Amino acid sequence: MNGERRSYLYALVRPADIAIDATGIDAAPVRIVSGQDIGAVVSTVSADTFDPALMEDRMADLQWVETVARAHDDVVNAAARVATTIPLRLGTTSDDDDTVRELVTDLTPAARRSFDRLQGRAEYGVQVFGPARRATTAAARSEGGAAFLRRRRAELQQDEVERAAVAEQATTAFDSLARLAADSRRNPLRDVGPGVAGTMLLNGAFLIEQDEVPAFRTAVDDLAAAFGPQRVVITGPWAPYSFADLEP
Amino acid sequence: MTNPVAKRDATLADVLERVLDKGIVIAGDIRINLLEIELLTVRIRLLVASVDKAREMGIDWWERDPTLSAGDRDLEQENRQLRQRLAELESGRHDGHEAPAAIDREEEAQQ
Repeated sequence: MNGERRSYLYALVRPADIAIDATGIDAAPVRIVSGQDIGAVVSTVSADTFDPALMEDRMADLQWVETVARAHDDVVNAAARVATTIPLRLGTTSDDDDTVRELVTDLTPAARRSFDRLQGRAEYGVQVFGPARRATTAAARSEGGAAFLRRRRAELQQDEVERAAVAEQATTAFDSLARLAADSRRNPLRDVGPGVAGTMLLNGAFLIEQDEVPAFRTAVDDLAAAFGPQRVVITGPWAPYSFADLEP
Repeated sequence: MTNPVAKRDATLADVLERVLDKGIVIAGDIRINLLEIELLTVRIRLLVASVDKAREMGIDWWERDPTLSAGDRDLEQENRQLRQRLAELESGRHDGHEAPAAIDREEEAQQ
């Protein structure tokens, strides 16, 4: 509680002379710290907010995590709407703007080329869902004994067969979308969000050239027609989170 | 006809996947405080903190995270155990070995 302040970094942007239409963490105004053509999107945070000693408790507070994560993401996506944007990891802070200015001034030529690779492109997420996994039914559980064991084994084996089949479809789906993308990633599968019943089969991220967006959307529509209603979800455009790097 | 593609707003899980797992990490005088905690720890802490709230928000990917838990590994293991158990029971019946009494009785009651 010493009232110290730090500069919180959201993203690197090119060009630097842009206006960001979003407020930052703790509703702070967002500014650009620029070094020539590349800038960093920054706001001021209290040093307490990201005090390493407090982080463990803070991260256990889901409400806090959501507020901070959404604010971070809002600013990053707002930047990506007006400039080529390299998102930074949540929780990145610096002593002051001078340090930030050094960072953006001293970027290597290779790091600068990352901007070339991302320019005019946006990330889209496409998730494909399959049927929900079969749970042990109450009836099956009550029958007990070997009959139950046999039936349960058969169910699980049937599930495995079905899941292998849809997993293969998901791979085919990924490949078909990846052909339209400048770059693509299969992110780890996770459990489903609200409103979509089923098992996640594909959690894809695709870097799409602006001109390719209509074709990409058409391809996603085709997938949805093949997999069935509500089995295919698209999110985005996102800033290119899954494709950003600053390789030396 | 309605478009079958669900175009939806990003869930918190979508956002966390990106802001916690992706995005570049820069070093030097720039501090990334979240790195002080391994991401797995973060997930576990989140889980412990508020699992019901998390579920409401659709953040329960740890249930599928093979390094963390649960789902797939348990089912595979269950399947393996079932196979083994059934083999024991069936061989027990054929070669005259006693299968565990409780299970035998249950099965007889069904027949």
